[in-house]
Amino acid sequence: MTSYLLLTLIPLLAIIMFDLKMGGQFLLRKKFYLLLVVVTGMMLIFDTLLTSLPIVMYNPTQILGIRVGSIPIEDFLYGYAFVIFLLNAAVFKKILGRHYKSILKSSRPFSWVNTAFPAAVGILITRGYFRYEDIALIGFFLLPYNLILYGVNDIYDYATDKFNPRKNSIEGGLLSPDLHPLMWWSVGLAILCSILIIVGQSAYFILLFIATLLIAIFYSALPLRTKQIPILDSVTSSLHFVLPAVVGIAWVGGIVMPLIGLISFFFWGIASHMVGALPDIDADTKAGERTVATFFGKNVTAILAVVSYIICIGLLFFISLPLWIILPLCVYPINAAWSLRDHVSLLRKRFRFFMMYNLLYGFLITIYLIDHYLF
Amino acid sequence: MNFIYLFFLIFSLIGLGVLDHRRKLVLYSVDKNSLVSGMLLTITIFLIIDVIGVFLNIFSSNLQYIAGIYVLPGVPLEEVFFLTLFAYVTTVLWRLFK
Repeated sequence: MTSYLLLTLIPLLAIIMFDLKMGGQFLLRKKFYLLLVVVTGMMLIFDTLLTSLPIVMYNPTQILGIRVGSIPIEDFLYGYAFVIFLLNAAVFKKILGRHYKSILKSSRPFSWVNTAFPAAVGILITRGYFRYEDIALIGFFLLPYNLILYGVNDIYDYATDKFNPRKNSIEGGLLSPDLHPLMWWSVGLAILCSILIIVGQSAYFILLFIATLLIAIFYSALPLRTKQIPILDSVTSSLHFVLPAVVGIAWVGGIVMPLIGLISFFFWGIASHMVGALPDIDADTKAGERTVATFFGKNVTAILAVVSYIICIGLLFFISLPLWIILPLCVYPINAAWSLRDHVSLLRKRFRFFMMYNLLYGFLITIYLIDHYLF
Repeated sequence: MNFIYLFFLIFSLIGLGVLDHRRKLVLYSVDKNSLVSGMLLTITIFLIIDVIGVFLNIFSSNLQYIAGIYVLPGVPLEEVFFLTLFAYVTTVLWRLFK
């Protein structure tokens, strides 16, 4: 019913916003409206031919059904979006060409897989196989979701990140203030993309999906900024990876959640956030930021991480998983326990090891899933 | 399979080309490089929107009028020419109004 409307309205609103805020402000010129009138006239002739012969056929269940003669009303939105985009294309290209690397870097390309993978696993364990349309959801959790999560984060974090040596590496880039408007714009576009995901889904799915986005945004955005509330920072950080799996399950109509697996993953996420927060103790303290690590101190946080990892592993014994999947998880608590002996300046190495080991363990899980579900 | 739609698109493009040549508006203007790259970017973006539209089962082309050559899943060759025509005519008009 509204698919075509959304497909045309989203680009139209996006390009109008772009034109007024960053583009050539063509919408404020008289000449633009003259062009619009002429283009509309031409569309009436050309599109009437296209839609009455018809050369282009529309699925009646996907359009509003309001037509000007034979032309679906959405065609005009498509045309206007095209015209405004075309006028702004040169500006768009210039801004994109100069800054796309900074924007992309902010979305943590190294971590894309960490959110897309849980979504894919959620789909696979619930339905048992993939369909083409799953690309939309997995794709959303690959880039747009990370752009929302880390883009908002980098804007609000600018003040603290200046002191943080970890930034400007695979874990993200320092986003200079003059790029903040462009980042807001990119985040807005990413949120608009999500509308395509929720079209035609159940209320249950939409609710979960919106909650996931809100938790991602208010992790760093004011007034909540949960990343500065000790313990809640670990919880919400963990949810950033658990919720894509939950949304993946709901995407294929799963109502009953595999709770033990999800809770186990949740504790893994909490512990991993703590491991990630440990190296930042000094930078965070200097910037006046409160995290679970600055609150409990290095050693207590490390112990809490180890305990969470052990809960994660322990829970897995209650679901039928092979030992070769469970036992390699023990590397995580050992790595976290090592922090107790390390000087604060060496903790970054623990986190780097954690990131690399994730790739290895992710590979193991992938092998298991392929073996278990796809063959 | 039918080349009629493709023929009219190319016919219109040639007509625009003649006008463009006489008035030195787009392809024959001094800033043709930036105009052409802008048109190409727009065409690319809207081809992606078309692919999504086909993917969401919103629209399809009538095989009675198209050549049956697909450049992208569900997107016929004619769509590329259509978007080119649309971009070209809009740019020509914009230049004409100056």
